[in-house]
Amino acid sequence: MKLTDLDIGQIARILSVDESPFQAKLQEMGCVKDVLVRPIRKAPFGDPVVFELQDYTLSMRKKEAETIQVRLLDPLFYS
Amino acid sequence: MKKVVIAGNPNCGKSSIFNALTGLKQKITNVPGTTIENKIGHFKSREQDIELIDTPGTYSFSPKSEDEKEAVKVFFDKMSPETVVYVADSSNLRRNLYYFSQLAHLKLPMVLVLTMNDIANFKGFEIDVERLERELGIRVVRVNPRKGDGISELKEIIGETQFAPHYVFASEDDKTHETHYAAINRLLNKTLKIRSRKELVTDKLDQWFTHPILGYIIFLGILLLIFQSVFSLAAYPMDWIESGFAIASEWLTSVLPPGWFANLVVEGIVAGIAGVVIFVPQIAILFFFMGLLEDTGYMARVSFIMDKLLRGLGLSGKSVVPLLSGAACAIPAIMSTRNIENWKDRLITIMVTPLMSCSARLPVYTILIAVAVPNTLLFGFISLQAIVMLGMYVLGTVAALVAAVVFKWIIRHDIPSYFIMELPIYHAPRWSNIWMNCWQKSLSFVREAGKVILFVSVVLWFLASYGPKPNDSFAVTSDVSIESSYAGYFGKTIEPAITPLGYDWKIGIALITSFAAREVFVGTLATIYSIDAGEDEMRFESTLKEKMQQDKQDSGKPLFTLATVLSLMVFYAFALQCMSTLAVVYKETRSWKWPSIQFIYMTALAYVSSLVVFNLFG
Repeated sequence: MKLTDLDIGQIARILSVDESPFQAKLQEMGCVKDVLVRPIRKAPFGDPVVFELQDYTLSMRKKEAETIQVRLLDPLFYS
Repeated sequence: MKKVVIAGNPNCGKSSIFNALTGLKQKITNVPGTTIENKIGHFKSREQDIELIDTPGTYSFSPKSEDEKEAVKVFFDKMSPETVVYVADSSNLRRNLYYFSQLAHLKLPMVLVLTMNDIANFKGFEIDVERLERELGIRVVRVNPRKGDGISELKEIIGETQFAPHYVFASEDDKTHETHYAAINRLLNKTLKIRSRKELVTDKLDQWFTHPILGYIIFLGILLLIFQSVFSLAAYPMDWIESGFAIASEWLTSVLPPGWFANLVVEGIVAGIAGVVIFVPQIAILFFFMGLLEDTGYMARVSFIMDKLLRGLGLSGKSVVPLLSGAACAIPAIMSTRNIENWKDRLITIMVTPLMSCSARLPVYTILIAVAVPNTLLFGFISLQAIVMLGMYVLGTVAALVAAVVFKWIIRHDIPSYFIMELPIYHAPRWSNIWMNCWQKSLSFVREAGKVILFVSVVLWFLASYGPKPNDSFAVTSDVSIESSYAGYFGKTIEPAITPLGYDWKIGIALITSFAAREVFVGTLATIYSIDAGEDEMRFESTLKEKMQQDKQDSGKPLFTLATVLSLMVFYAFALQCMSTLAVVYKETRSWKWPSIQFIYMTALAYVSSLVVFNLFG
């Protein structure tokens, strides 16, 4: 699934980041394999979205978040 | 002299450390944003002269924007730095160590400085500094620039011989982002313990500041508050400056032997400098608030909630800061576009920012509104004059947004823009940074605008005081009325072009002179209506106002009718009458193409709109 498929508060593990003009930017900001990521808030009109990862908060547009492939963690695992 | 560079991610406190180490001994570069250009300062450590360079915050060694390119540039200088002071936010060490891990490959001696230790502590992070030193093989210092903790220790360390980190983050043939982050994780597994996690104040504040409805209301409220204080607070220092210059020119008139030199000094140079300095309070107050909003982390939230709206107009959330700064002065505003990664977003922001009503337009609006708009109250409590003034700000903003849409369709650029931005933790304002920023921006405004206005006012003084001798157009005489001076000739020459807008040759002169800088308008009219500008402000404004109101056209009708005044205000709102802006756009876009297009489109817009307004109200 894609990062955009997550609901607010759900935690997922990043599997890969698709190739794009901003792939390197996303990876530098910490969106790399195995990192846990959680959407925490949406801007008015639903876009961009703020995510928590690597101990900080990163905002990105849906268009960028769509390129990040993730696997949803079992809620039992983190709650 | 030892060359030392400060590097690190944005918002980690580099500038605070730079300020704490160098004090006021900084070479002021053009316009620092939150730092957008490298800054140089000096201090002594262990009897050694240290040259310290503060760089803009960067997330990686492969720069994405102009300010990041500048930051990385120092590592490619002929003389590479002898020590790198790497500043890292310890509440967010993982991401902060990424750029560090790239710099480690340069094999330069490094020192790791940990900031934001109180936040890290609150978040439940425990960093084993000794272990970190052993693993990395370099010195690690905790610093709190706000309280001065660790600053003297850091000062000593910089003077000592330092070492390059021996921790291996990645090998030569495996330098992917994953490898780097994996190495950072291995390092932090040994050195960072997480005790507990608490909800930060930031999360609570963001529920309000990025709320779908309240977020915008709060933003609008803050804007109104800022503009209210700009107008009310700046009035006092502006009065002092005005009377100070009045005293200075009176004194100069009394000590200088009367003649052309005294006239040049008093009417040309002193009047010119006064015209620049008078704006400093407004600009400084506006920059103070902008600095405050940026430093606390609120501006990132504004970018976040405005991104979707601005994207539709060809801009980005990151255009908010330049557009708002444009209300003070377009020059630093255009420079602050450097952190916009996408070239098209950045270019459009540069092209439309000068449409925002800058403070140089204020005196023009003030005098024109006083001349033609009655001082009546709407519904018994809203001043009509204030409404018209506010309307000019709205007009400028709307024009900027509409122009952005047009440019969005015209400019071809295939690389899609992105908006990948950190939302930093809110923190209390770092006052020393804000003051320093405010001071440096105001100073560079005085320098940049000062040069132009000084030149223009001297030339204007000459053109308005001298003219061709009758019957001999090559000889020069000072014995002329303004109408037969060189300036008068210019005014008369362009009169046919501006009559449809409701202007005569006198306004024509003011238009020509203010193509270098708008604020020259009032001074020019004052010269033309030959008023002693040395008198106090009330008298000066009221006499200029009265003379303007009494001035008649050839037909006997008043010259400054409501239609003419509104048409003039619209012209000043839209026309690009600022040489410094053109110069900075040239510098930032590295071509004359964009400043030329900007000049032509804004002037055409000004002409057509004024024509329409004059005919609507005429």
